[in-house]
Amino acid sequence: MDTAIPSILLQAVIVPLIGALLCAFLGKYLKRNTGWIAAAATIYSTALLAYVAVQLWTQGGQLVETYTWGTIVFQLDFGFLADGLSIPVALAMSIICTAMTVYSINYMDHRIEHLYGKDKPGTYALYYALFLLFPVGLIGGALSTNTIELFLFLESGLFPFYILMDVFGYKDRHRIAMMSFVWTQIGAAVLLIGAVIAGVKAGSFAITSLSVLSGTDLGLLACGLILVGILMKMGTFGFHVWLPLVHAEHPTSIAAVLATIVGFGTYMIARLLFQNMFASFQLFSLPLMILAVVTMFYGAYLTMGQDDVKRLFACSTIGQTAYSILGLASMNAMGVEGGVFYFISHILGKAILFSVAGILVTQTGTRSIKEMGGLAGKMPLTATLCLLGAMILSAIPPLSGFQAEWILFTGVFMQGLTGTAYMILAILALFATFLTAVYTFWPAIRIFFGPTPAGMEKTKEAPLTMTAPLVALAVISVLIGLFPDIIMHFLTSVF
Amino acid sequence: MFTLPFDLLLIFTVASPILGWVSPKQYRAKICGVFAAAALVVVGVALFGLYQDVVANAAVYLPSNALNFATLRVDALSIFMTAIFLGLGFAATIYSIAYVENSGRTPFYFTLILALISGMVGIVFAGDLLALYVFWELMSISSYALVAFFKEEGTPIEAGFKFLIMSAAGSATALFGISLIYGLTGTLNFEGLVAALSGATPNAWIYLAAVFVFVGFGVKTAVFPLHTWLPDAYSAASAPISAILSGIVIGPGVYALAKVFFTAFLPIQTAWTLAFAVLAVVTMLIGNITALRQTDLKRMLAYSSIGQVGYMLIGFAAASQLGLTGTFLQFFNHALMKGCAFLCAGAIIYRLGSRDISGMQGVGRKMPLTAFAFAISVAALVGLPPLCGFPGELTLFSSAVQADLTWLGVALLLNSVISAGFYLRIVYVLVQPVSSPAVEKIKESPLLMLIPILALMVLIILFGVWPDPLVNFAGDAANALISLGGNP
Repeated sequence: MDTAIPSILLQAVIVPLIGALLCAFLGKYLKRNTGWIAAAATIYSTALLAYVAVQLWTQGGQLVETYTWGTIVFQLDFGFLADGLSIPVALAMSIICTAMTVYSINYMDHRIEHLYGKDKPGTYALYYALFLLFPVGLIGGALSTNTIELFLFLESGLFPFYILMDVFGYKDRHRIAMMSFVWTQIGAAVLLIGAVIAGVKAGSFAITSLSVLSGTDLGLLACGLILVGILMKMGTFGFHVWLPLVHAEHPTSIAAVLATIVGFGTYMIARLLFQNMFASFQLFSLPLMILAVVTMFYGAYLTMGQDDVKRLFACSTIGQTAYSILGLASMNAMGVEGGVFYFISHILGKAILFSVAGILVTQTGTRSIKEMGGLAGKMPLTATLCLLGAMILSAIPPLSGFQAEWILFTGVFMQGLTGTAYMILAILALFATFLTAVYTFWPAIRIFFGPTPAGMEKTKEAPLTMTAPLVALAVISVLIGLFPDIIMHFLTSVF
Repeated sequence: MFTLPFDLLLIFTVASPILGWVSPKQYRAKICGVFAAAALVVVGVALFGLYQDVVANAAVYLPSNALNFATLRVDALSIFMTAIFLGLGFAATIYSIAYVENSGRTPFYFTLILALISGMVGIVFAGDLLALYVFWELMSISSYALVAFFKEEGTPIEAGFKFLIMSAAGSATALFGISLIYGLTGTLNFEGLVAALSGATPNAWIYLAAVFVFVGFGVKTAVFPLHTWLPDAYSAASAPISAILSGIVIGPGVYALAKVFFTAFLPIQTAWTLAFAVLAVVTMLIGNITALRQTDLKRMLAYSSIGQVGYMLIGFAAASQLGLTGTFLQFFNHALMKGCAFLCAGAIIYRLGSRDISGMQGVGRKMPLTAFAFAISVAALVGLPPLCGFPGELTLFSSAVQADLTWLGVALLLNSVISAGFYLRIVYVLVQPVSSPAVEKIKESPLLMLIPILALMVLIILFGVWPDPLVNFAGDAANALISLGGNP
């Protein structure tokens, strides 16, 4: 396929980077308005990706841009690939980043004032410059054509995350920031070791050349290392220690981004392992499925015990990400499509819920669900958003969650037909999904309905810059839910 | 007498104190500094002419390729090393103009820098072990004096003295090893050594000579367990000298080890590759783990240099063209990265007056350009793409995998993860909000310090994004050494 805009994919990655530099140098003078520069950069990227998506829809095929990086010792290309798998993922992540940038403008104003007082203009520069590295890392990571490039983009999201968590997080932020950094960094290192071993043996770091090793002994080793690295970054059971802590204590404006980074592992598994190392990857089907089901139950169990509104949604990320893993572990096209679809749907829903939590914290001043109640009358829009977010996660039609989960379980049960163990796991997994409804709706009811406690009477609706981006995300989710073909048209063209 | 660039370098070295003596006292530092910097540029131009000769003839011999006389032998590897010495030396000299103050001793500071560089250039130009040893001493003596030069700051005398004792013992050991080699072969010329020893059945004397040479040259390279002088010397020296010591004085040690082990000791290669592999892992672990615990910025960087030496040794363990390419590449990149980092650290310490990392919160807000360059250089030291540390580490990793030493490559990657723990802590501290009145008062580094820092930073990014020319150059250098040893 062709586009009229030159280097369109490179632009989509590099414009946020330029925006980050602008924010770093102008932040001191623009103060809270720095956010609008950041928003402009992310909107531009989103627009470019949307344009590519439209072209891809009409023309089919794929769009590849290659820039040579090194040729002497290794063939290292700095390439960008837009196909049916990468474009929906990149576009969804870009939309989330845009929404969160706009949301940040008001939220960070509160947060910075609360932490550092009014006269610290440099903190705005720091926040937005680092925040813009997330779209760079996520979009770049989705479009990467080689493993080293992928690693580079993953890293470019990790370090800003660490600093943002440390500087702007909530209680105990220094310790938690370090802890999450160490976990994700080790995950990244394990992933890199696997990728480099594969790359050196295959003679090229291109993602497609992973297929050379597929099915060999070394391929199994590389596949295992890559998988473990990704699972560490996804916070699956056993590697989950850091996730609820960090997910609860960071500023909520980057919560959705963290959910995206965590879920991005879904895309990496689909791209690296399912697409290119299938013969090795399929050996992991059963263990991965068991792990996914255990994680789903554990995540749900953990979530139901929470009173803290932020930690509540934090714990649910563990279980929700496991749905996507379950889909991938089913080792068939339906399951993988469902897994990726669910990832997209989940980050939309989680972005809404976390941001609602952020709104609640800024507007009421508390994080405890026990102290809230009857807020629906005070903040009807927020209440609606929260319910919509809960509907996405609990897979209630017509929102996107339903379509994603339906496709995902079709794939899982197809695998279930191949053996009793798989079938038992598939049925267990289906039961786990019912728990989602419990842990998303029950707190929503406690927060927004019932008697209003003393001290909450004066709570006001959040400003428009905080709610409007969430409304946009909810609308997108409804659209995808009504017309799942928007996503599936792309995904079916690849798998 | 020797070759044009080397002659010029020696003449400039001798001329610089005289110039300092005749120049008016209040401008001495500036005049001598500019002279030294200009001298390095002139030598660099002359080196380019020599490089073209080397490309045409593979190696240039001076006075001739006689087996029994002290000779110079210049090949692609010599040019590669010299280019780094001159480049980082130039950056440090420019920086020093702002750093040193006018006094009666100032001219000698620049003389010593030129003498140090002359010594290192002599080492890489040497065609036999005797010439190499002579220039080795020139380099060593200048470096002791430079470590102890600013004797009013901290404990430079003690550090310089420790450095002197360990290095001198090392030199003596190396000389003993060299004399054993001479006794075995009757020649010190590298080509003669290859001819005399190739196919020789290894006997105890060769092993003994190898151990002595390794210990002797290993002291300067700071290989475990010979590294103990390094943190003291690096942290006691002034910033530009730390940059030179860490960035390039490691080089002659690595070079001398490579040159001797890949020529004279080829017959016992199977024994020393494994030894180097183990030493590489131990050295990188000791360096990186000790660095984690440091609170003094310069000591932290000093320990991390030991870790980086560990990475360079991987190329020895792999003992292949690819491995040596990685070693030389890593050395070149390390000169840029660590040079830049030490210069940034020096600028911060110069402004702040303290070396304690925890007291540097918020420095990045006050010195944004310096802090940015510092962040880039430490990110490159971790090995993050697309900065220049990455191609070097990748080359070393794949050479280890090719040599069936995958565990060694994995150790490299895990170490780079460990090193992220302290390197990134520096960045983290710099971007924190300002918390102390001392930091509130400081301002951006002086322009003459900033120029070399930013120039090195640009090179770090440039060689990361566009590594091919450099990888090619390092590959040529490795080829030159491999073909000298006659080992395909």
